[in-house]
Amino acid sequence: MRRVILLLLLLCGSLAMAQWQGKQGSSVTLTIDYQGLNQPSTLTVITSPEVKGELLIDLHFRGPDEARLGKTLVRPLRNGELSFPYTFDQTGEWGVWMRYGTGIDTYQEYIRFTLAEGPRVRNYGGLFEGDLASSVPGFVQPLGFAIFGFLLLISLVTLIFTIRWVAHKKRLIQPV
Amino acid sequence: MDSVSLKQAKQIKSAVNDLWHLGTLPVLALGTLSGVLGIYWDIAWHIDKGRDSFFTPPHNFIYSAMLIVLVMAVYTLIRDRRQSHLHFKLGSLRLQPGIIIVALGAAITLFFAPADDLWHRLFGADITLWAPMHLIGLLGLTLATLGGFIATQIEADLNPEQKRLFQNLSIYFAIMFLAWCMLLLAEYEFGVPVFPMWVGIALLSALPSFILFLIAKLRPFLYAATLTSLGFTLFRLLIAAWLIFSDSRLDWAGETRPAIPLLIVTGILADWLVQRKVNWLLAGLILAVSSFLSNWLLVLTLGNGNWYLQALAWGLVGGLVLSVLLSRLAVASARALDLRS
Repeated sequence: MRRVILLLLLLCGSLAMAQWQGKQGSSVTLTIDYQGLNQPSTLTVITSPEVKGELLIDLHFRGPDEARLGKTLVRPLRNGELSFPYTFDQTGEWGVWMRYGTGIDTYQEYIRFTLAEGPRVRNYGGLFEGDLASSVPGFVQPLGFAIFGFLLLISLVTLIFTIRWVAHKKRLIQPV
Repeated sequence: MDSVSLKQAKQIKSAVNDLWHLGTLPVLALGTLSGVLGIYWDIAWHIDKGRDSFFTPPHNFIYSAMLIVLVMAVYTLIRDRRQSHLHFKLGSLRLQPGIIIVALGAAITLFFAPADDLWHRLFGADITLWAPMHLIGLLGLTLATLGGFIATQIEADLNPEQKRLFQNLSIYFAIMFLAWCMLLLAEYEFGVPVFPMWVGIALLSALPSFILFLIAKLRPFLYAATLTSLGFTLFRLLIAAWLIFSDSRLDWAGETRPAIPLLIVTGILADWLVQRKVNWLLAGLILAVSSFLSNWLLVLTLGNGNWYLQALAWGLVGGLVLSVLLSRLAVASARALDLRS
């Protein structure tokens, strides 16, 4: 038994020391059809291979001191694409943070761009990078959720058993 | 018939009067509050300040909550020697059922701490509240809060002379339990969800139904569910005030703040439904629709357009189903814990 525990500890230690490297996801093209300040512009996100599910977008102005919240949007991608309108209110450096996936199996990319005065259409490319290490197989997150589900089940069973036991005891002391 | 007299059953042979004077419930009350505050603060910290070290101020609040739950569970299991009809006998130990649930929460929290660290080392950083190990930690602390709530109900039964104190405490733990349930939705409240939008809408519509319907059924006060939802709102406003203060005065948080779920109408409705003796099925549906509509209006007012049509439809259906199940569970729990029985 002691050998097994030592072996498990050694295995965990080796895995922990292995260099962590993120997974790569889809590539992304961001097209900004900029119509000038305070005019409705259109932003289009195209993913390849196409991403299914929702995309979270956080578009914000990067001020000289710190980032300021502009717009956060969650929308489902259709055929790997998403378009949305936005009215830019100042020139300078802006940032778009995008994320897809669920839980720790998420992929994110950050694109910076600079806006000038006049209308212009520009494309920016990027590559989503995952939060899970590249060496970690896909079943890890579901396995984690299974452990959580098991503990949740144990908790519910204990809770129901305890409450039923209290109810039973209360019934016993009811005056006959 | 296997029954004993009420007088005999309620005799308590111990120097310790109750879990308030033993110190369990006041310290547990502080711990549950510390945990909720710490987690909201920590998420705000992560969004605006990025990654951090082990002993940041918000982390310290979370660790305090975990430590309190662990210590108070062990301490109470050892110190509580009363031999009442509602104490579970296990060898030489006499376990108050509420404290059994707190101890279960403590055991899960104890599992969470090393498991979370190992998970991060093996699989990298996971900045999400719903990472499997984080969910386990949340489960532990939420169970401990529910254990505190159950403990107050049982103490009120065991100590009729202190009934008012434990009824007040039961409202406090109901508020904290509601806060822990809503904490599950923190990433949705901060506007950075990591799971589909419809799941957040479903949980927001359904989760309040359990504790609001339960406390309305138990009725420690005339408008207990209304009081609970008001207390929850006040508590969340205090957290927001703390985040604003710690940002502007101490530079301990950023400018991102969570939205506060609107549950006051649901609380009022829960009281009304119980007074009208509406059954659990209809009550579950009405409470879910109330939470859904209140918060949809809030989202529309705030101008956050993330509740898109498809997510709304699935979220409402999921919320209705879950709310009905939770209302059924609330009715069963109320029957067991009802002080007036």
